[in-house]
Amino acid sequence: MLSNNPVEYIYLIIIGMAAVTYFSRELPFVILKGKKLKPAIVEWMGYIPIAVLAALLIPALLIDSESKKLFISFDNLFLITGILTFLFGLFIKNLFAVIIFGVSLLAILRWFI
Amino acid sequence: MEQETSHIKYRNFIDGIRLFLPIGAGYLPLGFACGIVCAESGMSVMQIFIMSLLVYAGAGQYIAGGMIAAGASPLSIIITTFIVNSRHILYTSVLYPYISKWSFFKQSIFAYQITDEVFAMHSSFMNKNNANTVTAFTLNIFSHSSWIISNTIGGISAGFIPDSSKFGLDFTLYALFIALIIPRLINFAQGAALLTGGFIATIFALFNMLYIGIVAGAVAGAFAGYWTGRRFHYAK
Repeated sequence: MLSNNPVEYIYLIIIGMAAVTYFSRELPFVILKGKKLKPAIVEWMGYIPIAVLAALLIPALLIDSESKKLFISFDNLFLITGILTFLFGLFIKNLFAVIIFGVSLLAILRWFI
Repeated sequence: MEQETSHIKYRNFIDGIRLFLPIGAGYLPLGFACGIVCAESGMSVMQIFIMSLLVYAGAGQYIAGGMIAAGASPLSIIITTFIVNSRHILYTSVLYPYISKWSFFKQSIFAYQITDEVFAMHSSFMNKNNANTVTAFTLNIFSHSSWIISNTIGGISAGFIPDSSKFGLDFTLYALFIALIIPRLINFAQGAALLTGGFIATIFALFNMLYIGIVAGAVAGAFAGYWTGRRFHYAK
């Protein structure tokens, strides 16, 4: 395979990226090694998962990926799909059903709009 | 006795596969697209394979592909990757109490394969069941493999396949996030964490700081949840 970039340049980047990414993943285990966390911290961390999921999801629904501007409109198919998928998920508690519903709904909306 | 342990291991393995399936369904289209972006930036299939194997971070690889195409310096790409991926510090911190009894070596291997989606799955599973190594590593290894395979296929097919219509597949991981949010919404405190996290992250994203915004949203959301929980006396 031919590459347009010098090989060393790409591998240098890959190794650097791998190192800084692994650093973030491993650091807590190094710092916390053998320690017991205070109950208040564990309680606080109990809210991290839902907050992270919201932080990953909500900007993707509200912001147009091209213009990077707020896009709150019926024309925003991602937002409409997100809201309807959420409502579906409140009633149907099955993870796969929720995913299949969301993906097919967006495909259908794109087909018709 | 022997048979019983192997039966439990088998069940744990199946649990791991069950957790993996929705992630795999999301990683296939995402990794495929990521492989195409990287191939278009001039990376070879071997380089794409090695990057997915060693770095294993969706957003980070996308951004690197774009920056390589733009001819950015290695240092600036690496610093950007660090900022984008610093949110992983939160993930292994949150999982630590569940696996604090594991050996440091095992934790260090485990840390290598933690991503947004894998973390969300682990935290849901470990919250309800005892963390076990078979389920944890099954989920990690299968998810990582699906990422490597889809990136490599994307890298190979770049140039052959025209930008095909994506159907609704780009929504897979967001649907997964929604499906993981709903069972967590059990009280006002979790709701406060959700709204605050989403609001703060959106504000940051509007100022072109999406990835710092994820960290800021997560931390602010956790404080909002914690304080609301204290106000309503959820904790003993």
